[in-house]
Amino acid sequence: MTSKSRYRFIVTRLLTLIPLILGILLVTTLLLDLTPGDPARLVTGPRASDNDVAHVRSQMGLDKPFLIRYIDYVFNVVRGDFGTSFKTGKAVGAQIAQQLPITLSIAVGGIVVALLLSVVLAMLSVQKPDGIADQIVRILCVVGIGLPSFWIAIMLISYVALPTRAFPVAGIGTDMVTHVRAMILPILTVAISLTAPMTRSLRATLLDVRNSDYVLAARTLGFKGWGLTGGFILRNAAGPLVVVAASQAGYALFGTTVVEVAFSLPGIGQGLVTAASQRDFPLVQGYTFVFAIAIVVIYLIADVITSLIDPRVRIES
Amino acid sequence: MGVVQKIGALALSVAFLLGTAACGSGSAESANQIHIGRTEVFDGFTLDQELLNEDYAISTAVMEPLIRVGNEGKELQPGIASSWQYNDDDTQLTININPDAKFSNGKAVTANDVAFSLAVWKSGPNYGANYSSIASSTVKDDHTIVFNLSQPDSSIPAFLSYAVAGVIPKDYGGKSAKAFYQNPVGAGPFKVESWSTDGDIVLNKNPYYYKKGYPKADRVINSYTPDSNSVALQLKAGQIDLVNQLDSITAKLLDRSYIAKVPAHQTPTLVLNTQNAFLANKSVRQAIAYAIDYESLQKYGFYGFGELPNSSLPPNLEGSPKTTGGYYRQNIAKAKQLLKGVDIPASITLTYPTSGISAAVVQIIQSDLKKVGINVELKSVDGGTWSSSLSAGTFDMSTFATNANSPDLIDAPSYVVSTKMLYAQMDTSHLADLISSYKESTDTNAKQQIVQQIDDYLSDEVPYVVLNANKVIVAKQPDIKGLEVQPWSCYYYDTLSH
Repeated sequence: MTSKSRYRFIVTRLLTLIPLILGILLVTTLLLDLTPGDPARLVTGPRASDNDVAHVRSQMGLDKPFLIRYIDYVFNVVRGDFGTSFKTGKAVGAQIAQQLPITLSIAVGGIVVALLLSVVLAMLSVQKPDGIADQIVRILCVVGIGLPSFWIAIMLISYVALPTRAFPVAGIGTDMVTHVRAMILPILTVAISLTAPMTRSLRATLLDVRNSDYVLAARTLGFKGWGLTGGFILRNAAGPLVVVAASQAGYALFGTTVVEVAFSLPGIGQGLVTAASQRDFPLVQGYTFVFAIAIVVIYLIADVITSLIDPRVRIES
Repeated sequence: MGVVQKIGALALSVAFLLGTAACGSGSAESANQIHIGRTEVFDGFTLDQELLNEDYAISTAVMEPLIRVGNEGKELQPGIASSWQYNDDDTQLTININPDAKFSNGKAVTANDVAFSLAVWKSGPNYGANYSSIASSTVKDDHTIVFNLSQPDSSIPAFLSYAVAGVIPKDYGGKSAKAFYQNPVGAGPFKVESWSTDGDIVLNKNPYYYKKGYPKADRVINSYTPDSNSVALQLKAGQIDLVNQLDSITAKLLDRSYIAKVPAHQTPTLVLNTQNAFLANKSVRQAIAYAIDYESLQKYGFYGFGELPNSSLPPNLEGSPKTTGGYYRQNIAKAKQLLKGVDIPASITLTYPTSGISAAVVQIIQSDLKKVGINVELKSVDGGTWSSSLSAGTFDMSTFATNANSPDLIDAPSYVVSTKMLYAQMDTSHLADLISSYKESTDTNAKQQIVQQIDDYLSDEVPYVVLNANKVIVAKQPDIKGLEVQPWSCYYYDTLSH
């Protein structure tokens, strides 16, 4: 795999972003239009006259035909202008920039912790297949897959945050120390949700790899225990793990919405829920745009990392 | 370093971080800071667009109105306006401005600022009608302004205490309206450090506040939590000091020691859209009112909070009327009699927001109406859809809650009229006439009688059915002092302290 072909691959994938984003924005804008509730009325107020509402609707540009609005929006986005929130009047881009770090912290932190946990659990599990440790890990995985993230959040709030008072029950606080403490349980929530499927997948891959010829050869040469697992088995199982992690990363990113609402964190997930309920079209479109870009980039990074880890993987242009 | 060692090192680092971050307990906030929790999204600082009681409290803390409310909502008190008086024929209201009143940028509040503010209030599509009788204003000097009334209106001072009548600098301090409201400047006890609709609103002490020794706190943080259970947990964890307008279900989770005794009331109602052919019939509306089991509603829908309704108007003001002959109580026989000969449709829809009222309330109503042959389809919608449907009149029946917002008894009827009978789309001309008579009168007894007439009229016509007389629930930490809640669940931030 040459860097030239990898570079070509990255550029091609980035170019496919364009029709994808255009399609997502089209669907989002259409869905917003079809959703009941009048944004102009919600902003103007329930007692405003129809004339006042019509005036505000015109200021918002909502009196234009759908396609005109869509095209205007796309051109503005290309210029880096995501519009202003109907509700607050603040620039959508600035608002998203303020909220994005929180969401990324939760998603990335959750994935990292989940990766660590899944590696440890999977390695424990395959040390002795069908042994006690393996059975415990498998049971935990089955249970873990069935646990909804909002339930995990509530349990952590009720049984960790509240009695210990070591972590905020909700909110992000106003100082750095509280910020850090406020992120721990949400990250743990995401991690717990992701660990089960990642552990199961990694365990299956590890079991396949441990029976391969090169592992047998390593065993013959005297490698055993953690040395064999870490040096030979895990390394070769990393490729599929990255793919699983990437698919879970997408899930994690959307899953932060539930976690942010549960912990009242002002990230883009909670922002999206609030914006949708307020029919704040520019914000909803902005958030959707960010999510779409993020998913595509995550999968792209996963593909590239896989190709780097596993030379057998060819990246097709 | 081998893979295993790397993983081990990383795990140890994470554990260290967890341990470090877990050190310390409770909140890191200072003792002279008040942290308030809210479960509603903030509507922003644009004066006319503030719709919720929480909006009012936040806005007043920054852009204080001319007149304050005190004594548990029973009287108007001087504030930025040190005094006010009508002329002999009540066609002019002279306002004297406190010479100590200053905006948070240090500039003095002048009559020109008040004149500009008045123009802003009058132009508001939601609340502008409250000030419609003020035809013009005359600036006498820097601290005196006269409001010239088109007709006598004794309610103006009460409306000048409204949060939406915040005093702002002339010409928005040289900014556009949009830019001003992003970072508003007012003469209230606090100034804005940062804010967002669904995050924290951080307010710092206004060093130029006219009331010496106030505000008591240096900082107020108002945090949004979408889930009311979470708000209750934050209170229990000591993370917040105060939470307003808790719902009944959540209040049950808290120890009684957290619940503040407040005079506040909120009136939940069932609105009947009179544009619906079935509900246009007054007998039908009265039948619905007779069909409802108010005692079950109070016990199971509102979890024992509040009182049985006695009036069509919110009972949260001194002198609030009680419906002559008593308000509706369940009487199935009477309800059926009223429905005799009426063509009942296959079903009608009851729309309610997913948050704000418990599902038990609407289910009890559904079950009660079934007893008299009215089939109700329950339709739960999100807040945005519900609000839009109310304004547009695209509903059959809907839930809605209201309360008075000032010490003046005409406040609630004015709101009823301005919303076309709480969105029931009913003709309001009779009520509007009564309200005008009230405003023109200066005789307390005469005013009382007019309000009684209004209440009796509403109870007879039943554009909406009052379901309960709720006490708005405010919960606080035991060490919070200076909480003076008015009967519409608003309170001033400047009196709060630990």
